[in-house]
Amino acid sequence: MEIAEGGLKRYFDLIIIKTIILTMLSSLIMAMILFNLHINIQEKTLQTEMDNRSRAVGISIISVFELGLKLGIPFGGMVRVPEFLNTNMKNANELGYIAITDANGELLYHTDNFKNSIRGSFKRFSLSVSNDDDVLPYYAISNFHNLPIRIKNNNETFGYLHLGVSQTVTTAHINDVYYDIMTILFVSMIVGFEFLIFFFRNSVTLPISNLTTLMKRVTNFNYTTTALSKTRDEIGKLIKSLNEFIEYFTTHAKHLRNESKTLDKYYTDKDRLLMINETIHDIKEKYTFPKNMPIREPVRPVTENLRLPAFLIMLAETVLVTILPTYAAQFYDASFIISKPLLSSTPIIVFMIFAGISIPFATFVSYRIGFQKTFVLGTAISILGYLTNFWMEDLSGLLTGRAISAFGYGISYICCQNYISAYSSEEKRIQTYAIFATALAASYICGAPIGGILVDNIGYRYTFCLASLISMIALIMGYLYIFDFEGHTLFKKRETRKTLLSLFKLKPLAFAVIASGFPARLIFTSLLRFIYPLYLTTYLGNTQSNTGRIIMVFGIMSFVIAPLVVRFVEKIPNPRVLLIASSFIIAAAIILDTVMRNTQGAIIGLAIYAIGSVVHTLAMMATLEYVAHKEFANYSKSSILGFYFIFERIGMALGPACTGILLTFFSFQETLSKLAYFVIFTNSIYLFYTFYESMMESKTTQKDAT
Amino acid sequence: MERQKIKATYVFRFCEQNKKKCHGFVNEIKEAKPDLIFTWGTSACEAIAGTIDAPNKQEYIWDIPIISLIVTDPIKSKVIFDLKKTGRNVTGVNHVAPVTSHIEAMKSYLKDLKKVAALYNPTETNSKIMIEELKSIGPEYGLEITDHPIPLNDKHAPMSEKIAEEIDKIAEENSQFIYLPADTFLLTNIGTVMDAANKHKLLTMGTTELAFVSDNRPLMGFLSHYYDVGLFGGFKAEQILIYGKNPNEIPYEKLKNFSLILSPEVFRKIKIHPPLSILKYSEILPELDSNVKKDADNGNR
Repeated sequence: MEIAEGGLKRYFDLIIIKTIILTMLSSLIMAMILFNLHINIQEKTLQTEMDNRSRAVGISIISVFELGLKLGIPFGGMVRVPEFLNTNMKNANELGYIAITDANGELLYHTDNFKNSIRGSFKRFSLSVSNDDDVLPYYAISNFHNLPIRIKNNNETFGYLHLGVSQTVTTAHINDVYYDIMTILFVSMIVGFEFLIFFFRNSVTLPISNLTTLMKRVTNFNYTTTALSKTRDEIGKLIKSLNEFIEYFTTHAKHLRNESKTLDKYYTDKDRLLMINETIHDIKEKYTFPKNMPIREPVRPVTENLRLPAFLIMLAETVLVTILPTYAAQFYDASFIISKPLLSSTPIIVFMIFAGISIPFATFVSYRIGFQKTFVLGTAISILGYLTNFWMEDLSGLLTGRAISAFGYGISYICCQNYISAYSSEEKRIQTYAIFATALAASYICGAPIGGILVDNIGYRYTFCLASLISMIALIMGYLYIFDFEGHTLFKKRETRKTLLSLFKLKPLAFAVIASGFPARLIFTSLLRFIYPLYLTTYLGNTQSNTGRIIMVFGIMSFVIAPLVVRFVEKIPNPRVLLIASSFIIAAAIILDTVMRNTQGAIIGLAIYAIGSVVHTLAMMATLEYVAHKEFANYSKSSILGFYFIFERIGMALGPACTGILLTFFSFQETLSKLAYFVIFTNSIYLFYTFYESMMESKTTQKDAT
Repeated sequence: MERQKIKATYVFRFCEQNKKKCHGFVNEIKEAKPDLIFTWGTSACEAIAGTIDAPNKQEYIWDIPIISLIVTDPIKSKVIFDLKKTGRNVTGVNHVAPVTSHIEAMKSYLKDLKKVAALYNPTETNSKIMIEELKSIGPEYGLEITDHPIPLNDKHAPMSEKIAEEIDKIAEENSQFIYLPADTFLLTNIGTVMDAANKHKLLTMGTTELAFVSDNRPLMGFLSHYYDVGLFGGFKAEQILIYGKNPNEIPYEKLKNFSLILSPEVFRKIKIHPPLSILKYSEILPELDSNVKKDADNGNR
């Protein structure tokens, strides 16, 4: 798109930015109105719900008292009552205190945290109720709702049980709801923007861009082409009209040129002849005409079209990222041979293995049937996998569903990567991979928190159902907007095992992939798909919703950092420096988690990890090109990428497996330490190799110079 | 057996606490050649099956499957070689909860429990085994276990008239609980035991259901119901009679479900009431009669 000059202000003149701002404002206003309505209802419903729960606890306590009374134990002589009340309170988070009075309101028993200042209210209460009252009124004391329940035996009231239902718990619940709503709103906005940007781009900005290019040509007297238009809206009609104009003009001008030959014959007036000749000369010299009719603008590959379908398939997967370890852990029992942490990692391991298996299949199928159909096929298979998980609620169902969806996801994912490699120019390849990286980041922003909220509210089954729905939309988007073009160079050379094995001899490539790429991917799945979801819920006690929101930090940081990193990576002469630095950043992030053993530390660690991960991903792509640029003649781009993807997949599959085994024997902190040491160790090897290779290169260069 | 529709003819013989009389049934059994023998109690099992080190094995039953019920410790009683593979024609069901569970039950009733008196008939193997175990484990729980065997007469038989005296001694030494093992003599004289214990407001812990069938029953018990023991024994009988298994292949097992039971009239009498937490999950035995029920109502005030 052509952008007018004028610094940052130029961005605000863009139609898309104006549309986004308008949409955001209107969404926010709507959300605030809806939120306030919702909160009012929630407060009343929540309070009633909590009162009912507390009442159930109270009835359970009273039943024991009434049994004691029935057995002849004096009401004032019950044994170890505070201990009993304290135990009951542990199971009811919303209770602030439990107290028991006699019929006159004299305090007999209470829990440890009971404040004496409120005992006076019990006496007043006892005086205000009679034996005939079936329903006892609850009232506010300090920060509590006091729920009284009568204790009786043979219709005689012996005393009252008072339950203090904490109001701060209600507030905390409402805050939780508030955060959930804001998260959903935020995620909806991002998803909405993705669609908005996508459709806007296709319908408005790209056609306008084509039109602008055409008009520039026309301005330079070039009438050889017309503009491409696939839409039938106003802009499409404009382009069509302009095309007709050019075609008409071409026909007319050709006719004029032919006629000028006749003019030369019949007019003898020198000046008029000269003028006409000058006009004709202009037409001949300045205007460029095609031999026959103008050529239709050929359809150019549009890699940006990949963004929305890629975002959607990744979103479907990231919805499940935070919930899978805890879902798998539910199936554990003592009869299993493997430990509970290892069992928790099995859906991730299965996913990575089958996604890895899909790589050669994806490449083969893309070669046979094209990218569009491959993407659709892959997405259809992953939908089947999600529906399997929806249908089968046991461990075998979980693993079967994951295997199927992994295979499909892998096909779609690799198809997208190959699409970028095939159709992006060398100069813009990093930028185009950044589309992919930001789509992944955006999916983490949206998917991770939504998954947690959904599981807390509708359960695992329907969360899988939602993932299949998102994939269906991805399938439709892929079918409509991913196109195959003739003449791409990706699959000119068929992959052979011999080719891939020979790539091991390319030491700079092999070292980059094995010593840097493989560990980074191992850490990626270990941390994001396994350790963080388990660590945040099991160890730090966060809910699924909260865990999802925390993992969102990874997405947000990646989303913000990626465009900045792209520019940096393109400019840096040796991307291996970035690769090494980013690995150390990743290690530092993991070490921070072992030092700060709380949720805040996890958030900071995740943010730092996101920076390291994004830099590493983009630097890896640049490094692959950098180290292999000499060998592109001998190996196709797909071979070199395929070599990396294989180790990427192996790393991603091994990550959860290794972490699961480590967690069986070590604590979370010890496991994280070991992962950090692994990264430092492998990265150090790569650092030394790079240094050694640079030294050898400079020696060779010096030798050549002398 | 009836539930599984296994048709059988049952022949009952009662030993009446006489081991010699019990042993006398061996010849009758050898002649009758039943498919299966059930014994109830350690003495009956020893009398019919004999111990593994008995010199005269021919005087006992070694060739007919025997299911022995309520033998406290078949290994220490030497009726079998091993619990998993018994090594002979005997298998069975052990009904007594682990002694550690008894200690925990007593401590749950009385938080500051420090001293437990073990009252038992020193001539009964079952009792000696349980008391030995109690004495060895008790200190780990911070308990002092005092030994109170019932004195024996010249004929080496326990004297029931000495029970109350022994309990007086228990009260003098300030023991808080009296532990009653699976002791047939004590269970036969449970009325005397309980009268003396209740007089001194001593808490009593029973370990078998037999102690709770009389009107004068201990305060609490942690045990398996005999009905469940019989059920499990029936299951083992099915294994032998229908599936043709050798008793040697069927492990001698303990029941895994135990009940904590409380006698309400006892805690009302001694006025040491159970804590609410125990009341919540224990099995309260039915009241004995309406007079006792009146006590319950009066006790509330």
